[in-house]
Amino acid sequence: MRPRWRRQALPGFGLTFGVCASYLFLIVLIPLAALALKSATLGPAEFWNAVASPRALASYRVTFGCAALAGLVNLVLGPLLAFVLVRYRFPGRKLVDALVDLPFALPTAVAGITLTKLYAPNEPLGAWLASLGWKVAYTPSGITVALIFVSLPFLVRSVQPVLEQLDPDIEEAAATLGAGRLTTLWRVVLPALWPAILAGFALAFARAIGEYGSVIFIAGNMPMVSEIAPLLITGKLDQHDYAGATAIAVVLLVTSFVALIAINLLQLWTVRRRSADTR
Amino acid sequence: MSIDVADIHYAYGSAPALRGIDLSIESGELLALLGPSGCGKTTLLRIVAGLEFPQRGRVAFNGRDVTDVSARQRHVGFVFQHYALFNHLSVFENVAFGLRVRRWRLRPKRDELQRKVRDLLDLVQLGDFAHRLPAQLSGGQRQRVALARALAVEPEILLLDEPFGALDARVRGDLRRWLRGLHDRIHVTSVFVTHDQEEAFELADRIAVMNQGRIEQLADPQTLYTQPASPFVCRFLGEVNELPVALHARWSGHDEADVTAFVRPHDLDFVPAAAGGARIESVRDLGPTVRIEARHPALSAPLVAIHERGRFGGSGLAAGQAVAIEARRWVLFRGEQAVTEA
Repeated sequence: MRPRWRRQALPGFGLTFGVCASYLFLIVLIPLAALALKSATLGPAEFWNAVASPRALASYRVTFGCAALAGLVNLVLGPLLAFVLVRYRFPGRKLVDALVDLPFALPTAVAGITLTKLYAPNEPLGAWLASLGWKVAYTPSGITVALIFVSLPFLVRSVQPVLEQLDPDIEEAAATLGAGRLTTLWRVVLPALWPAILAGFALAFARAIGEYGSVIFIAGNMPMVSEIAPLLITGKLDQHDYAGATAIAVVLLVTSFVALIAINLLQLWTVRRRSADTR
Repeated sequence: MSIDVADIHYAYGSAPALRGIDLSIESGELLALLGPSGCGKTTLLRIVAGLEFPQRGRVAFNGRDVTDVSARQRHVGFVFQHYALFNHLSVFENVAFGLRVRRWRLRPKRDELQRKVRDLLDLVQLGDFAHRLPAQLSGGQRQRVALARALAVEPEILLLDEPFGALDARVRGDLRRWLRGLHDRIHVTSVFVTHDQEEAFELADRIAVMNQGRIEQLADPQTLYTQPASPFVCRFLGEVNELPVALHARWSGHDEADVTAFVRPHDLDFVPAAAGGARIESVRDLGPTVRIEARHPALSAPLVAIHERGRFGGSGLAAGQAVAIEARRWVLFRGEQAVTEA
């Protein structure tokens, strides 16, 4: 039996879907499948040794920990920056707006070198921070700083359009009902932004997990302390341990995927909850 | 609570929106601000609410000056044209919002809040919709939620900005009759903005007709209709024929020719007459009434008469017929000035 497609008013579904599916297959699914296959050449014990060695575990901690921390920092700073850009008119606003995209545009290596130069212990800012007892460069702190830098645009750019579309009437309505400014932000504006904030967080987190170029300069790359998982993969590749490298890659892939699904579910839940939110 | 507005001036940048508004609204009154778009009526309403602040002038509630008091502290209910509901909150929570954000000591207890919100939802006939989200309601229902939300904080002044503007014609009619009934029951001092004269007439105790940042006339509907203060008011309150007339000396003491008679379509008659001067151009059946347009060679605009169906039946008027013009009632203006019998 041939499946019967429902007739659609918009033509071209077959062609566009076909092109998209093949493209997705070639660019995304085949490489991922190859990754999984390559890692499967290891026996279970070897696989476990590769992915659960103390050094690998430490690198996951650094990668996921710093990515989450950077995401959380941007969770606060990104929407705040978006709010300032949307709500206030000040000289240089367009410039600041353009600067937000700089981490996207800048080659990550340039960002890495710049940040390293800034925070290295023998530079003024780095030395001053070190004198306060906070070593930034060559520690997980430095990695976090780099990840905050590269993932900031995701949160700003996902929140900004939603905030621009937000009806100013609802804030005025809250004011006439006796709500103060902070109450209004917390109970009226923020709930409207939550889905966008979560979506931005998911993107920022995913980007931070995979970030390589800007991190390796500032990380110092000390095994067990400030070595990120992507670097461990590079190291294994350098030693021609392809299977070991892919095994770690699979761990990164699965963890990122699970994290993204979790955030999407959370996003769905915040939208759903609205229909059940009556006491 | 009475509202006194004195000498209000307001400009958006260099464009003046209000140019000296004086207005006193009595306690318990339902007043309409009526005018074309851009006349400043919404700005005036927002100034009373404390959502805009005038460059000059005072606003007082019950004699107490509130000009510099923020919207939050003014304690007025405000209903927005596009509802401005909190879309992430249920109908119940929307109405409860004003109670929940009160300071801790003034916040009603759980049971009391439940009861209050339920009562309000019953009042606006949405008792069964408490758990719905705004997106699941029709426009008329949303506006009733907005009204219940505004009333929840027990304001002594209720301000409505084109409250029926976004609704379709039928819902609009139902809702405004319902609102009039509600006002007759709760007697909260209310001001609403509209550009629809029919709406103003049906709802308001008094109407302030505004034009270009000024109040042209403030009166009850009957006075407004029978004794308009200016040609603008006369034109704005509905279709009107403008006939140049010559005044006989017995009216104003001396003969004059620069006077215009304003005649409503239902006060105008066309009488078949071979040498009447005017000729009927079209006859349109509108159901309950019939609209007749005639052209007179001396006038640029066509003359319009609207007859009730019954009256038209016997008149035998048809397109192409020569007719004479008769007016049964009129208002006279000399320039901007009303002319009264001497």
